[in-house]
Amino acid sequence: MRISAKCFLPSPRWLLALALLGGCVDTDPVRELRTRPHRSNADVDWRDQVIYQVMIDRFENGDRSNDFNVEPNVPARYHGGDWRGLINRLDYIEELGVTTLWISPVVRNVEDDAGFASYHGYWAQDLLRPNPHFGDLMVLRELVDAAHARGILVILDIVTNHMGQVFFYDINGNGRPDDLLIGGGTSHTCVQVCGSPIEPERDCSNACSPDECEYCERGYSYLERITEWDPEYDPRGVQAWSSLGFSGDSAIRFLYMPEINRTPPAPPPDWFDWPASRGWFDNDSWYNRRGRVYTWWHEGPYSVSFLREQETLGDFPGGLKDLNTDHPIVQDALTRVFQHWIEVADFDGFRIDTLKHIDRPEPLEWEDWWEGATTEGGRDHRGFWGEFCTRIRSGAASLGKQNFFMFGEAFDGNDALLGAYTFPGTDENGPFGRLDSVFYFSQKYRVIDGVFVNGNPTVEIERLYTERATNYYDQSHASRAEGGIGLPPQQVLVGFLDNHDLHRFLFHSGATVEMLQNALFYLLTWDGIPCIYYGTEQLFDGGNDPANREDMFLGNPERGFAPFDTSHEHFGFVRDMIALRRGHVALRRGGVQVRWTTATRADEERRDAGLFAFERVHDEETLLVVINSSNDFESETCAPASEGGACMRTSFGPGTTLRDISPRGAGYTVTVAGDGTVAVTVPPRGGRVLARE
Amino acid sequence: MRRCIAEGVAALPMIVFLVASPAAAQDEPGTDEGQPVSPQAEDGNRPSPPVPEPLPPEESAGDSFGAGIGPEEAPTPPQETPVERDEDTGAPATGEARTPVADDVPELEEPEERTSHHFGFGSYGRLGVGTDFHGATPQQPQVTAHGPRTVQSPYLELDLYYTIDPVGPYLVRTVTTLGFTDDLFHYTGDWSAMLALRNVYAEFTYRDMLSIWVGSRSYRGDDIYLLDFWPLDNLNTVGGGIGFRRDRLEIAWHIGVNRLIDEYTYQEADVPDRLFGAERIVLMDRQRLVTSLGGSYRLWGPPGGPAIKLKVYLELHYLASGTMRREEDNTTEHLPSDWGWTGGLQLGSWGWGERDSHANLFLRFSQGLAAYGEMGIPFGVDEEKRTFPGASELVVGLSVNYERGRFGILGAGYVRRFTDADPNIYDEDDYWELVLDVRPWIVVFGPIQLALDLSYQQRFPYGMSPSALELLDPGILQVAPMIVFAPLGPGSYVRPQIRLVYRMAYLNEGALDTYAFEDPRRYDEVTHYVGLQVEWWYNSSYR
Repeated sequence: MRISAKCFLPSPRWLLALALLGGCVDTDPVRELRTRPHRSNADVDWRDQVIYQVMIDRFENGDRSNDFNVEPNVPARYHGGDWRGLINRLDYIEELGVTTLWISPVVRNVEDDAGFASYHGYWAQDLLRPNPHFGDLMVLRELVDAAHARGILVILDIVTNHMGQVFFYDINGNGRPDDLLIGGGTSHTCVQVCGSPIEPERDCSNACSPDECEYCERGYSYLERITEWDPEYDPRGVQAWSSLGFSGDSAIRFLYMPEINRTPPAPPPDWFDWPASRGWFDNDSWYNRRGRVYTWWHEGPYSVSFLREQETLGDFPGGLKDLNTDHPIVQDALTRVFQHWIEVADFDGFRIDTLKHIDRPEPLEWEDWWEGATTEGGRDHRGFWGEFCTRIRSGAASLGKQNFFMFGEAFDGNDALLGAYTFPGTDENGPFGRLDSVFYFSQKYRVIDGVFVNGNPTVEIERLYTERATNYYDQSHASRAEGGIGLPPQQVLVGFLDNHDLHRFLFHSGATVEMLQNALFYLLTWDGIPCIYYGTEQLFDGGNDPANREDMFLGNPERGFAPFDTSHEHFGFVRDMIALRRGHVALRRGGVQVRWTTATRADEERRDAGLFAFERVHDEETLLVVINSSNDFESETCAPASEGGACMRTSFGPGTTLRDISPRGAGYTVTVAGDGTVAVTVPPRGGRVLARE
Repeated sequence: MRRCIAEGVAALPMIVFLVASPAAAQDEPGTDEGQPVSPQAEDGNRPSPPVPEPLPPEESAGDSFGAGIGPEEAPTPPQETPVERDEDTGAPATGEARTPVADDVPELEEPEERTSHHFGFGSYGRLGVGTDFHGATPQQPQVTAHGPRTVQSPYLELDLYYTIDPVGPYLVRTVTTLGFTDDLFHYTGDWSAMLALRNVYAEFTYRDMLSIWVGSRSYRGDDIYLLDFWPLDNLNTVGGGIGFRRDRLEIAWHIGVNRLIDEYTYQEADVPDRLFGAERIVLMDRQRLVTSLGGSYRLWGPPGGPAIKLKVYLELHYLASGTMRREEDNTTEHLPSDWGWTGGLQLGSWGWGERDSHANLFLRFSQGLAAYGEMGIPFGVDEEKRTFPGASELVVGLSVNYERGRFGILGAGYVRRFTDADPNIYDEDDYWELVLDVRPWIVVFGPIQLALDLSYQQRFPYGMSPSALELLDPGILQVAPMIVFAPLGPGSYVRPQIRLVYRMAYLNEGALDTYAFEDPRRYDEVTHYVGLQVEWWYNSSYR
């Protein structure tokens, strides 16, 4: 008979045998959760990290007692994964070799919307309380502490742009959410305010800008029918409407559906010290109430400022209500709630969702200004990020945490826009910082997809790298002691092949395991911080959401992989590439010098088809990396004879012998010729990491 | 630290028990001279009110073995006059005088033994009416599994007995107990009441020594009256049992099953009929098997006391495996078999002081399924969806009653630790709890008594409150003075009683936090109650 371990923990014992049977649990850890020591991270350099993205619900089910509303065979419902499950699989994480976990949001969510469940965590309902599907605060802290004990950092995914589907727009004033209203919506605004937008009667009067006229015309038929759950964007704010016409701003009504936790968020606990008079996330004024983003920056002939304002003030698709992040009290509340999570759970960084939907730090000269614009922008407009990032850094420092890393997701291929979020600014209150880094979406589209999937010329990689100097901040926002990371954003961009919002790399038409490994080779040898989506090492190949959120605990049956299988070749490849990066400071921290690119597509037969070569230069070592992105050709780092036949020059002197130290190097060596050039051959979809022998 | 205090408090019952034991009471002169010996005194471990008029033997319901019966909410106040039996053999006395015969008078023939049929009726009932001073129905705040019973919902039991005695060497009896709860028609206007069959069984007793029963039975031992709690043995199953009693020794074994209507144990579904339409079938049906074995031995003293007895008790639970279907996607999930066990001790003392003075000390440890009780649906299961071996429960309980003349005092308390089977150590579902309750009373004049119920209850969870995000220990302090009208005389267990009760309860921060944010009770630190109550029992079903 086994007595639960819960019975026996150190405590004073009384004389009677009865007390011995009782046992004692030391609850001091519970009481002191907020004041428990935090990991200082003084020894951390973020360039050394390899991030592993985990969607908690899909990773491992370690605690059956929180399996509420679990339907493991329905892709868009909860599957039962939890923090206990991740704790149980830290051995696997450690064997893979990643150094940082990025875990999906931890806050309590609206449970359900239109039959879809909030297993991903992005539908916040209560920003202070943990999602009971995943565990409680003690288990969350146990996860972080257990990871720290293995030298693994933990980054928390946070959402500051929006809350879940917590209210509806009562456009017709009947007090209930109507799925369909005929004759309402923005098109009605257009007709009533702008005049008829439709040819041949088109008469968009002076009351509306050309952007609004365009918006009305394009969306007329679609916007004629709206839903009060998620109406389309209206520049004036969603308007109430009846058969007699407009009646002002539409009221919003917070829902009360406790069975799916679609209720106003509970007030903060007393110890949070937040006066009720300041309001909370059930306050109307804390939301922008403009309706759902309908057009996106890269679409249509709209002015940039109109589109960017829509992106930053509109609700996020799916009924996710946009927070008024320009409101000082909202800023304060968001800063304090996420400071709370650092305090109780000792996270080492934030991954910030929907970055570009808050603030417009891009230079104003980019924009053809929309005359109806109501928001400010520009680099020196502090906005939300200037306030949030500055306070979070100082807050982390006050807890003894250095190196608190904040990077954001701006789901956009525009490199300049991404970089805009990394620049600091100065306003009347003084200087302020912004994000330490961003997800390198421009690299994802132009390099990962463009070069390694579609075979575009590898010179594109160099172009993107060159643009970095202009588009990204080149200084650190704050020193480590001040809570910053002591590194410029230019050096710590977070690269990735795919994530939870994109289909798996292997879902690309024609994608192969060799292509995946080729792209990983680049990701893990290039500069910046590589981020690997869970399951990449298990050859998951799901399509778009929710197919790309496969259950890790089911393994990959199509490939014959058991759950968490570490025996197959591909896992070994990923593990070994990570180990290679971790074992060589040049790959992690070295500067980049591009040595060879091609201006032709990888499927064009030539001597150097698909090749990309670069050096990673560090004081301690220099490594030469050569990657072949072509499917069909073994290539060599020399020009075709018709182009002179010159071979690659590197920083290695003549006579230097270089050995391939990559996992599949197989003892390949090459010697620098007397003229200082070197001809490195690389098989199709192969790569080499050459070190001085 | 708090948990260690709770452990220390667990020692208090032992201390109190030792002080209150007959060693102290032996100084008192015997109080039972000239008084009829009640069957309860004979068993000793349950207090019993004295029966005002001894019933003729043929109208008694007789004795039976096994655990006690009666409502969850009712105490164990069985009361019947005993069948006079030979103290050595246990055989019923005939009760008939034999006429002396002269030598010259012909010997009369012995009359044939006559089989008699008796119908008996008993009842337990309680109800009350009161106000919480807000114009609403008063409630009893509680943060522990069992708490003081100063305010309780209405409850009624009707006991119907039919005895055939003798049938050869057997006494045959059937017992039917109807239990009613829920609100009263006169209160809600709702013409319905929740009805349950608490007992439906037949029992055969051989020479007052060996008995066997089969049926649906509430099967339990001694209670802690003030807390409405049976800390050692309290089972509700459909099954049967065998009991043996002789001299100082009593042994009883029982086996029974239940099958609760809950998605964890029972599932029906509509499936296509073979021809047309849908057919309702049973997809999952998981019976729980419970068996118990108890043995009691009077260690010292005569049956009427002062005496001490020791009871040893064991239970085994087993729940069969099953397969449930998820309604949302029609996939199935296997639920494994599970089991549990309970072991316990009871030390009882009686026959000192006056009337129903007694003391009982209980110790019970359960593991696995047994930690949730036979009517409990397991929660907090482990990775394999089992409760064994992770879940456990430890209970140390004390029940005391001391009466002397116009004064008496009831005391009750327990310490309990519960842990579920999930792997989380710092879990709100795992906790210690402590309850103390004392009710002294005194006769003022005639049938009027004054009583004061003082109670304290607190729970010490291992985990954070999910709403307050900090560790809170819910606790409630209650004070309840009472004016009692007891027409049948003084006595802690004398019924019926009418009571006029005022109760004030103070809830600490943790207790208030147990209510949802929108529950108005969350903001009521001090609650009040004034009410008029009545409670009775007579000839109520017992073990």
